[in-house]
Amino acid sequence: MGFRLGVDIGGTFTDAVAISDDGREVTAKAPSTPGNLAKGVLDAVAGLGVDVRELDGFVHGTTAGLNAFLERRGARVALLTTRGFRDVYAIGRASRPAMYDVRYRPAEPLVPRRDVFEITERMTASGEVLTALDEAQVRALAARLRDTYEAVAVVFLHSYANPAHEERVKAILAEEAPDLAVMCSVDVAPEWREYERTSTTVVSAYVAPIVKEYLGRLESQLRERGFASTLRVMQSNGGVMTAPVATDKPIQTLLSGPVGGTVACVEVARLLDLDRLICVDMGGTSFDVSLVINGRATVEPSLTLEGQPMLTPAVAIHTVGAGGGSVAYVEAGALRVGPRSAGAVPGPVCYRRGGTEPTVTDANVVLGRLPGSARLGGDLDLDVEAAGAAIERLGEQLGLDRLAAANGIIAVADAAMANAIREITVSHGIDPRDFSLLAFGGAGPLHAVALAEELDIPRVVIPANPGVLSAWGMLHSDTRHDLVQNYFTKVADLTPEQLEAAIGELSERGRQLLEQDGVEPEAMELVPAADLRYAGQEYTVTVAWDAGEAPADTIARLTERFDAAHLERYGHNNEGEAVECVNLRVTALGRVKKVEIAGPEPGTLGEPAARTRAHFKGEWHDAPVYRRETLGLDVVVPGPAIVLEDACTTAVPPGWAARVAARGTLVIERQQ
Amino acid sequence: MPDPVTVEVIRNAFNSIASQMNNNLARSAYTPIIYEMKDCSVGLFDADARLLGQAPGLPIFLGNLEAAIEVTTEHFGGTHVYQPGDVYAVNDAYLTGSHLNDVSVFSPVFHDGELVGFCATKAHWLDIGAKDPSQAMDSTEIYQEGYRIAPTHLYRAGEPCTETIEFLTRNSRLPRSIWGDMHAQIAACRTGEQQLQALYNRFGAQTVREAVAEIFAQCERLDREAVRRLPDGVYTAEGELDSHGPGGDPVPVKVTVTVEGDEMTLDLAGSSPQTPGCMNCGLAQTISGARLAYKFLFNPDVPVTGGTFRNLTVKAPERSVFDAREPAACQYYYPHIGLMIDLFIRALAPAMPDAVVAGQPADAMNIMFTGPNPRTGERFVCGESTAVGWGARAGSDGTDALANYGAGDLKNFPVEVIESLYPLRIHKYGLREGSGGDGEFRGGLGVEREYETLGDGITVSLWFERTRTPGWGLFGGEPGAPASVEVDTGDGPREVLKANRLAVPAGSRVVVRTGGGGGYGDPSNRSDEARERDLIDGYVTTTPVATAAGTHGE
Repeated sequence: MGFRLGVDIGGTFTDAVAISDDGREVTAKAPSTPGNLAKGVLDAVAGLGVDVRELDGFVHGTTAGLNAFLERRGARVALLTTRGFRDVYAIGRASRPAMYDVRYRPAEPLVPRRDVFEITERMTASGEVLTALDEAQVRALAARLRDTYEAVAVVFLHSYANPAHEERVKAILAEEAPDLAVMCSVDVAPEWREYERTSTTVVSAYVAPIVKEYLGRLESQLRERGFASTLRVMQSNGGVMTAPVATDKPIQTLLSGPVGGTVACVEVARLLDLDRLICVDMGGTSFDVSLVINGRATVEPSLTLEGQPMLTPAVAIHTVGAGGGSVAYVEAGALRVGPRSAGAVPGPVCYRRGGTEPTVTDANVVLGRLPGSARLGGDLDLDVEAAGAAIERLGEQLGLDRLAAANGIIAVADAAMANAIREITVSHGIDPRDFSLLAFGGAGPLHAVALAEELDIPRVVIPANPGVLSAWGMLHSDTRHDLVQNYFTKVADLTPEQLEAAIGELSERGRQLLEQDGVEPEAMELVPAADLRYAGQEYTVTVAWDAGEAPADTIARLTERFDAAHLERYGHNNEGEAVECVNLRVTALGRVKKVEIAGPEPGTLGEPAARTRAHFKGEWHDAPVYRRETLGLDVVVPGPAIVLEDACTTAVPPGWAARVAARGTLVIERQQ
Repeated sequence: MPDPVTVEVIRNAFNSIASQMNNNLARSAYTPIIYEMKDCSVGLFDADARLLGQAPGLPIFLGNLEAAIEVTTEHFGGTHVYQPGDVYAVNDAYLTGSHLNDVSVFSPVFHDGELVGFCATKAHWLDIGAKDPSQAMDSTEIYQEGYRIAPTHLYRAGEPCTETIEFLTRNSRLPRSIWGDMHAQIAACRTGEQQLQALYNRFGAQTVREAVAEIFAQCERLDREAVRRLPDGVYTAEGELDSHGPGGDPVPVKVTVTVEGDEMTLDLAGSSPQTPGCMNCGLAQTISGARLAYKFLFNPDVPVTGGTFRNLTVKAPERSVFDAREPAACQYYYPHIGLMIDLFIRALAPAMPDAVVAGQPADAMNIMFTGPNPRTGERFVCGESTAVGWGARAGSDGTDALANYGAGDLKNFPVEVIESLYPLRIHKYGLREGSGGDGEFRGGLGVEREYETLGDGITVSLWFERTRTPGWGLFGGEPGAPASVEVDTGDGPREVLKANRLAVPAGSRVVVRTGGGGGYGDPSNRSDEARERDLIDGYVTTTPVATAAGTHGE
């Protein structure tokens, strides 16, 4: 029997999930092994008890590129630019996002000024050659590049309009320095705005050798063990690609790990037939929010990480500093919570690891929502008394007793998380009340219902096996490639022939990539779209259409569709105004085969494993504590109750009830 | 009084609502100056026009928005004029600060039939019918600078005032931009209204009011604690701007800061009278600039509210450049404010050496091309501010190429976008090597940008400043290089720092070089390692760049 395998590398553990053709799931965890990540992956795979030779598919969320980027351990990169523009990268946008910080410094560039080389060449905005490429100069430089650098980023002005010079440099370097990784901006991000395109290309070159080395090593070790199927890699955009394609597009692996959670939410949405989800992942230090709309993750055309912009499509994840470890403190007589975190060490007071400052987790312990027996992470016996004493000391400074202070910490943290959700919904014209809230991560399910109450969301979803959710999600991802071409024109000037030709070319490239990924023609789907704006506006709205639509019809309807999309997103539009196209896009999808997933057998609600005193809505309640694995399908757990499982605790407050749905998912709804 | 938890929840909600408004404004605005350069500001206010929360925007607008609400209330004789669904506009520079291009748009918010607050935005409108496209650099009276909007309804009880909107758009050379940006501002206000109402529905008016009082009290406590830590005394600094416009006289600025216990007074006595050129501003702008200077040094991490600045008094002589009256032109409302901020920091340097930074050429360094655009057949305006080098400070070199004090998140204009949209070509955009002042910590570098005009009928307007008082050094550091601009219309380069609509026929070149920041500490204390790095990376050029550069820049 064939198994498909998903593996996700986390900070502490590497998680593996295998699903058989008939929907059976096996999971395993192994300690992550920084320095040699492949070892942790192979350990986790070994723990599954599945024969590697029988695997028919392996999807991997790799943090190799992201870690190198965050820890600044990437390749030494040389940047080749158009003569006169050596400092585009160093200057960036010359802006200071911290309004009152007179000591502001932007993030240190990944390439210092000494490693930026100006090449004699120049294109005009319309792609005509103004100055021919000085090939001799490139050849003369090649030896030095070969000896000193591991990767080269080539970014020439207006290369999206005419890539000839960038391509020629790549060809010359392939002859003169064949081992050097060379990234051309036109391959990475053929869009205008030279700084953002440079930043994207530099990051690509910076992680390229690391991603290549890592995937090469992992694949060869899997092959040694008899792995005969295809290794696929999770991308920032929520789709997957094969390892060789990932080696060519390393920047697309940057959020390979973090997007796994959102991708899993997409699958949970399908399973429960919910088309709109707000997905929240609350861990020890951060709170990540993403959206699933119409059954799809929200993908933005660019992202910014550590102050470095990247023109690469990525699942939109909004992060704020709020987690179980967020520290509560008093400033000017006010109670503040976070964004500073106690982290894993010393951690919350209740962890007994030397923490003295009260955290959100300590407040949950005092309120009984995290029973002393919860044993977070398996072997942690929580110190309820010490948590209480720390919170009491904090409360004294504010004139609050222990209970009021604990409730206060939770209220402030919940409000901050609710604000984070509002900021990605309300200001984009999205009403959170139309959504269900899906929560995961160690602390998410404890706070989920409170957040839902704050935002007036009627339904909360807690997926099964939240500890390996990302790995599981990856198994359900489609193969995906986002193709883009700068195409600046008024919509009124666009002819059906031009549109058909441009979209046709992008589609063909998409089809080739899908073929390289081994996708069968019948599983391919190509979705054309355009980035549009009112003439004179800058930010664009992406409008997609059906691939089968006649180009003339598309053009005829484009303006109207854009007007509607603008109205939905911003609350106003300007019908009758001329509309411009900036980019054309094609999303090439290879649909993954869906497997029916086995869930728990139907059952009835048995005796609780324990009882605890838990504080909700201003009073103490005697609440039953259930082990999640004992709950059968369709069992209803009325609140107040606590549902425990390894590494995760779900609080069901009074007035709400949890029902066990498909695949053991908990669906918590307000009681009438 | 509500408990500290409720207070904190409400405090965070105010700033979150302002952020939501700001997202909404920046993403739906029409002109690059708003969406790209973020020449805008957003705030949430209570019924007495006191700030509740704001989003990151243009720092120099700090405090301008409340003036817009206050003068409107005063104009109409009280708050009884406000009705649900109203939207107001005002841009009178004497009343609300900055210049006429910056139009405040705000709406009242009601809860249970009672006025509880305002949502306000300010944004730069690209053309408001001044004597020259976009803005004049040589105006001598405010009447040459475009329409001056007294407090005016844009919407009355939910109905658009179409005559007014038509008047505003029809008197602009760029009616479409005006229309789009105005509606982006209105949409942002509407977003804020809904969210503020939801907050009131949840907590009730009484609780919110009490929480606001406590939030203000918290900010005031922090401010007073910070100022009390300074030694009492009188701190002064003075400097001089190059000119109040093309061909104009220098403009002296004098700053006297008095610290007494936890109170601070900033007095501008001794500064220039209002000028006959366009460098002037209303007192509202001076207060706004003084607050920004203060915020740079005191509690910069704490969000500003109506409780901030209660211990700061700002004084300026009537009819001075800092409190200009009719008919003074106000197009360039900022150069003397920028110098004032710089001088305020310098005056306090002896009292707080670790918090201050050395001087910078604190002005917008504007360059603006206008003319016929062959691509669209319409007139184009391509204006941008150019970044400067920042002053060094204890422990660190100054930052290179960053928008000046007042500009915050103002972004530069991408070369590829300019060349795609306008008949212009840019031949060089880079750091201006050697422009940072020497010191134990070196000043940041200015930038160099070289333009070529590609079409006929194009003119350039220029406003570059601070060559008489460049970014000074502190504690022994050297000053940064002053700005320089060369215009070559075919008969050789000539130096022009300020100009209004200078003809630059096709093929003309304009090279702008902005000034650098001052150094901090004695140059002889600069480490060898830092000096070597400066040479290898080409930040300084005094010694020939030997080894590494190779193919760089020749």
